[in-house]
Amino acid sequence: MKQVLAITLLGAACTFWSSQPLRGTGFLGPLFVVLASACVAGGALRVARKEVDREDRLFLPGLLLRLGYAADDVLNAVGWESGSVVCIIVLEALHPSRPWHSGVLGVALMCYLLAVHRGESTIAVGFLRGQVRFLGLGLASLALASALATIPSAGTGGLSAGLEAVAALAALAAVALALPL
Amino acid sequence: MPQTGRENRTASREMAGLMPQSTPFRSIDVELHWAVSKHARRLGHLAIAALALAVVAGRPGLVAIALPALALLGARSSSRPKTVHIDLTPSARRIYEGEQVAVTVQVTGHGDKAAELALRLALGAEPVKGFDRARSSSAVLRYQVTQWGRARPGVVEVALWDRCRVFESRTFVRLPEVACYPLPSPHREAIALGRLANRAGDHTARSRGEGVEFTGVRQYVAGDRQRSINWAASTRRGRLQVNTFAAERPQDVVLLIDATSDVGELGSGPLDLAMRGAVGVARTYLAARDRVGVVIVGANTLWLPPNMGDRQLHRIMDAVLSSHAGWTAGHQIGGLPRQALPPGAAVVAFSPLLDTKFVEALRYLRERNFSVTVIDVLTSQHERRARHGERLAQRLWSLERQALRFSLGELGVTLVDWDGSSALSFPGRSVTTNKAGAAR
Repeated sequence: MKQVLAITLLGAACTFWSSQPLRGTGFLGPLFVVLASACVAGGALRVARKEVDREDRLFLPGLLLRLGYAADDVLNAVGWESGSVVCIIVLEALHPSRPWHSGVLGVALMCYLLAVHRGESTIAVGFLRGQVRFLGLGLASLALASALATIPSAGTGGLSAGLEAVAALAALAAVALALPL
Repeated sequence: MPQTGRENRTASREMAGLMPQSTPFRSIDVELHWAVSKHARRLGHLAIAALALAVVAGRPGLVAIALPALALLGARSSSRPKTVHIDLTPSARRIYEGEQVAVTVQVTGHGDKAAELALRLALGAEPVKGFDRARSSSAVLRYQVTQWGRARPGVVEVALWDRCRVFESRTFVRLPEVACYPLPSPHREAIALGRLANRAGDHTARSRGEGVEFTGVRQYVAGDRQRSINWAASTRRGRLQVNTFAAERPQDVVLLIDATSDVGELGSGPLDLAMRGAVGVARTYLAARDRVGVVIVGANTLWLPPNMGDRQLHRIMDAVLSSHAGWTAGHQIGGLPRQALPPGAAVVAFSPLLDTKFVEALRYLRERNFSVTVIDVLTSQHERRARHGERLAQRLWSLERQALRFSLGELGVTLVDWDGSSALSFPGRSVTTNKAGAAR
């Protein structure tokens, strides 16, 4: 139950952090807050449901039971955590530039995903020991990127546009590398 | 029926020597199929969303969000093994209902990959809380078998992960088959026939012999033992008197199990009660050094000739596990050989009396002068909220059953109701009314 609570709190904190300030985001802000909250709740419910002993399904269930089975199937089929992560990042992108804010959100989102992974596989915290080096590398680069993002742009000249293009290409390359398949 | 600790220990002792120990029951090499884990997919979604929005919205700060996820996804892990070796060693392969089985699972050849073991059990087996999963490559997992029978209780799921949990491999290994015997029902009273076989046994016969039960005194004749002289009676009567004792004889008991129908709830239906009752009765009679045989009438009619000893109890239980509910035309009680139904044997039948062919078999046995006792194991109750037509049908069915029971009673068949909630006993049947072998 502790893990479900941790997942819920971390998810809610990420949603709240990325939505602040909600003013000035139009109708998209509240919409994504609702979507992110629903996804966080769905993910927490899925992990909580996993902890409860499941009874064998009846061969010929009644209407209510059939609805329950369908809800259970939906709960397991939907990628709630992925949905909540995307919604939270969209919420963050709705605001004007604030690199340090995004850096903190990045750390919180990693914690959220690690908590979800721990909750669904019931592993000990010790599993982080093997990946400390990579987590450290990721956090260091996150801090570096956030710091670099705070440096004001060189202007609107040709060099600036070129750098932006290089940055975009680098981002695309990173996306390609990030694809698990 | 709950089993006491003492009965549990007794059951374990009975099993001693029959269970293979120490050597792994299953020792197999399993091919692994590695796939991207859910965790990695989520990290990928986070990175893609952050980078895409950074480009689309022109927000370089969002790239920072993707970097920790990319660092984990790009971590180079040591080579992933293609196969692992898995050993499964069950603590017991023959148990009674409700007993626990501990399976030692050992996974080797997985290198530095993290392993997680979990039990996935089928119907009739339940995990023991706290012992159904482990976070290591070697563990003892426990489960409880709740339903008698010979079945595979489920599988062990072996999950392997690389260092950053990006790739995972899940393998399922079937648990070894366990023979789960019906829990013997408590049974204290035993029926002793009036006419017993002419061998040494434990039942007090009506004839005189060398037992311990005192029956009277008679005048001394040449050849009588000196130690059996009753000096008090001799002094009173003025002539030598000797004590006489009852002979102790064994009997043949044939358990007739009706497996023609399997109705009611799983685990508490008439067939379950019949099997538990039969095993309990067999244990009682075998403990009294009687010869016990079994005839199971079902889809495959099985019989075991009466015999003595603990081995016979296990033979009976194995026969019980080999039986299948149903009816096959052509299998008739009358067609059984003489060894299966020795003349003069006490027949204890367990039946819900739902199948007319089985009832005819009971009549056939009684007409051939077998002492027949029927344990009625039908436990299902009528539905209280039945409609008018259903109530009428139930009433007619009840009347039919009453008539059937009356006709069996008229033939001299003793009927005992038993629902499994109490110890099985045969009221008023401590000695049968079978024609006496008469005292000499």
